[in-house]
Amino acid sequence: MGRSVLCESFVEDYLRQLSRKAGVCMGLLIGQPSASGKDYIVHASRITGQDEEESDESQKLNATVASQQALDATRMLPGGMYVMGIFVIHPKNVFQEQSLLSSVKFILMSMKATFDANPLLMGTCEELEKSEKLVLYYSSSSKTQICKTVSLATENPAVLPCDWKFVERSSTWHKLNVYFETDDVYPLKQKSEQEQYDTEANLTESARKLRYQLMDAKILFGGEPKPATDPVEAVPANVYLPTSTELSPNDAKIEHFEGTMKFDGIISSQIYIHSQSTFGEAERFIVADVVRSLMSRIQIHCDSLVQTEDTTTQDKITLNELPRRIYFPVRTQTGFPVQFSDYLFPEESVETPIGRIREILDIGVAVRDLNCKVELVPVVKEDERPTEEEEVWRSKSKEDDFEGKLNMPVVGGLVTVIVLLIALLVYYLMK
Amino acid sequence: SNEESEDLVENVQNDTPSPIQRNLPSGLDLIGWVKTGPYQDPTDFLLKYGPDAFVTDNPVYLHYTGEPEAELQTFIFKNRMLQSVECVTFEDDFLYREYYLLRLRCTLTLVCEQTEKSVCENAFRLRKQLGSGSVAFTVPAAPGVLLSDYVVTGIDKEENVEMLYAMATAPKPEQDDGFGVVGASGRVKAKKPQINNRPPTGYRVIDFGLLIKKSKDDLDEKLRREACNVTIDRRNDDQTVKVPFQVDCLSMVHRTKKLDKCFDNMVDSVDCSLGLIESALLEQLRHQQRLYVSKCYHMLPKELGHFVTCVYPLDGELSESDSFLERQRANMHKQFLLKMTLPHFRKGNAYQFQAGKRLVNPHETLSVPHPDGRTAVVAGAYTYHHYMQDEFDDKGWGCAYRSLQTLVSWFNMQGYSSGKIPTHNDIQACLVRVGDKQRPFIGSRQWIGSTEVSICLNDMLGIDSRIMFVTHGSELASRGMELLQHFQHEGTPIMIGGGVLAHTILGVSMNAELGETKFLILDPHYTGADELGPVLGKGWCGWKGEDFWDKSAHYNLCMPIRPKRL
Repeated sequence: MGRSVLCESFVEDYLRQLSRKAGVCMGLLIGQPSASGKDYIVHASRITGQDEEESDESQKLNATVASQQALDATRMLPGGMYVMGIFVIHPKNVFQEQSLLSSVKFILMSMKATFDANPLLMGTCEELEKSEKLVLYYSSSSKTQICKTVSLATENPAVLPCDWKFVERSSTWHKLNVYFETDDVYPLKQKSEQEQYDTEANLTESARKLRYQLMDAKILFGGEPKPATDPVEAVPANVYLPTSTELSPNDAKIEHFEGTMKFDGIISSQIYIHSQSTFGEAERFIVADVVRSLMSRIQIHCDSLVQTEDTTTQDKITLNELPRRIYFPVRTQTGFPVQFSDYLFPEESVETPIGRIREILDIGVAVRDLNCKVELVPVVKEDERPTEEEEVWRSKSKEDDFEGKLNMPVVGGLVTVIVLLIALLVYYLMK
Repeated sequence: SNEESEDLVENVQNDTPSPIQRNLPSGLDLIGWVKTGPYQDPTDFLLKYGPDAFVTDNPVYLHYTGEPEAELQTFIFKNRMLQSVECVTFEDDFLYREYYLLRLRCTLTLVCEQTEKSVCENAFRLRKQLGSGSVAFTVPAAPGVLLSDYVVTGIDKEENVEMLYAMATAPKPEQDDGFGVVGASGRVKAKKPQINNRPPTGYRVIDFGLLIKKSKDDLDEKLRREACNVTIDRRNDDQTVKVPFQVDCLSMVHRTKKLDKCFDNMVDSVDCSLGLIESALLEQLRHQQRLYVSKCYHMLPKELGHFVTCVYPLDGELSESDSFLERQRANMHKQFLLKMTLPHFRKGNAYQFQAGKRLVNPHETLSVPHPDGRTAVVAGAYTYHHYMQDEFDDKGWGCAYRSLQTLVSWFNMQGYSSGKIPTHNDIQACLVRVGDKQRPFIGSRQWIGSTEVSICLNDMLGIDSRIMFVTHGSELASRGMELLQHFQHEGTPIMIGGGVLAHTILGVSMNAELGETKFLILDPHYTGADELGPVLGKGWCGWKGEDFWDKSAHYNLCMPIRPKRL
């Protein structure tokens, strides 16, 4: 009986276009699994980061590149949306050519390994996907497709049948959104011998703790707890955390912190869930979205930290401004409601994500399509700055791209001088 | 009236407004004053302080001269004048019937430095975070019921507390519709749970859990959109601590109170509890220079008739006899005008919300044989220990051990000791440890007598006992006065051993001519279930006459002495 897939028809248009341009092509399939075993695919994106002119066809099915792009893509997806599998455009039937099939299996296993190594990105939904990944073979010659699922549960991945249908408007998509407040303090762990602390390891640990807390979270829809099996509706949602009734012997002790990590501000969360889903799945997706978003911000932020050559002591107090979340539609023209997201640093210009979105998700967006107002850059309050004797905060920023930007005070001064000169000129001309 | 909150009368010795209000369940408010001693015109006082009792325009004023045969005079202050009013006194069962206790327990943490300033700042922030818009309350015994600031789910918000209690105590099948939630529409199932009409013998408690809101939605006017950032702070190396504490707050509400109004009560009680914990933490810093993991304890001193909540460091951190804790208890005793020789605020005095398996004070409902004579019974509470309990077969030899267990239970429940009942093995090990018995005694089925009982009480609990020797059982009746005085001054249960049997004496009653003496006996030889019916019905706990004793046998009594300290 295998899985069945409903795929938006605009994805078929995309695959047809790709097959015209390149004889061999591979890419990601993005969508939402469901408890009924029916998957919804909403987007396909070719694997980039490879040499287009590459003649060696086997190089076109590069597992490392595919896994990295799957990871990058996952960071842009709302909870409930996952990289469900891959598509392969090839003149030969991938399921009948042993070498091709092995490559495909290898790619899927690499992706799985990558997601396993980054569990907090919530890259797979084990309960619904059940270790099965989709493989869509699109024939560049006959323009037809065959879909199978590959089960990664066994040592030698088994290939199972799967029913694939392109449809116009596969489902109504409900949007649920929530603004999760992170205000919390976590302990900072330092390496014992040195003075240094590992920023990424500490932040990741906090995200892990948050995920653990959210496992018990209760989400109220419209202020009420909804039975898990009720069909989902678009109502305001809020996340509540329960507290344990009694102190367990394990928790009943005072913890000394070597330092603190104080989280402040929100993580906006926007999930899209198809109308056949339940509130139970909505709860799961919202939690996955919050954790994935936090972890994505942490990873993107830490990737950008300036690596200093000498490991001198870190500042006593450091503000880590994590990038904020911005949203964009998957399809800019049609009325398809689903949106994906990306992250923007405070000093980054709003055009920066456009190139990234094109590269990772193969979506063309313009600046006007980006919604950058859902989250705002926090204003650092003056009274929260440390006093003069203490070290000054320094936010770690991306590689200095200030060459492209003008320095505001200098510009102001220049403008003033120019105005003065013009005034003097006018004065003399009038004389 | 039924709708008003329950009232509190306070004795103010100085100018400060009620400092003890925080220690009381929420739902109680200051309503007036009581004065003892010679009468003085309180008009000026009431004109000045009357407004402190803001729940009423007419504060209550009580006066008691303290002279023999004097009555309590009751007034209300109306139109700037004292007006005499009629006063009706009621018994505890009125409170049990008319009021419910809403009990919320949760664990929270405070992250701060061990300084008063930091504790205050962070406690303040925590209290703000738990304001009415940010919390919801669940009822673990009635899944699906939720109280939040704008909606009550799982039950009609017009329902009252009584109905919620009925729902929470209904047998399981009535509540669960198969999904663990009461109906998809959030209403009580068609068949209403029955309200139990039997008069309650104690407070009825509804347990609540706390949910903390960690998000906002688009409609919330307080939504802040600033994106998440992290401040990593190493300025105070190792000075920052995370202190967990157990919040346990009580709210006293009338049975007709509507559930949507209960939400406000619960929020107030959380805030009140946090205030109490903050004060306790500050006291710890001031006197001990450190913070402890702390917990709320509820006491119900019989002399007061209402609950008092105290915050103490968790078990094991500080011993009860530590001067810090002793001073705290002494202050409480002074605040509530309680005797300084009897403990009321030790951790052991904490009210037992969870009914244990053992019968507590099975003697209480028995009628006194000589109501016109002189009677004295054990003070306070104990649990009934007897053969075969805890699946341990000690039939035929364990009666004195069981009597000792009853005696220990008394000291535990009065707060003098820890709360653990020693097993037969513990008792035997104790006697070997102090050298009274040899090694082979442990694991044997040897009897013990009153001497051994007194040794154990001394070694385990630090309690001294008086031993009474009675040459012949027939003599016991004549020692009635001594027993009477023991129960009046010490109030501890007595272990009596003689012949081949051991028993516990809980009281003595003599007729007016002091000719006939009856003994209130708790018999450890009972082998049945811990149910009041058979225990009383078959006389395992009952008043016995002088012929209960073997006239020719030699008896020894272990009469524990109650420590005269708080």
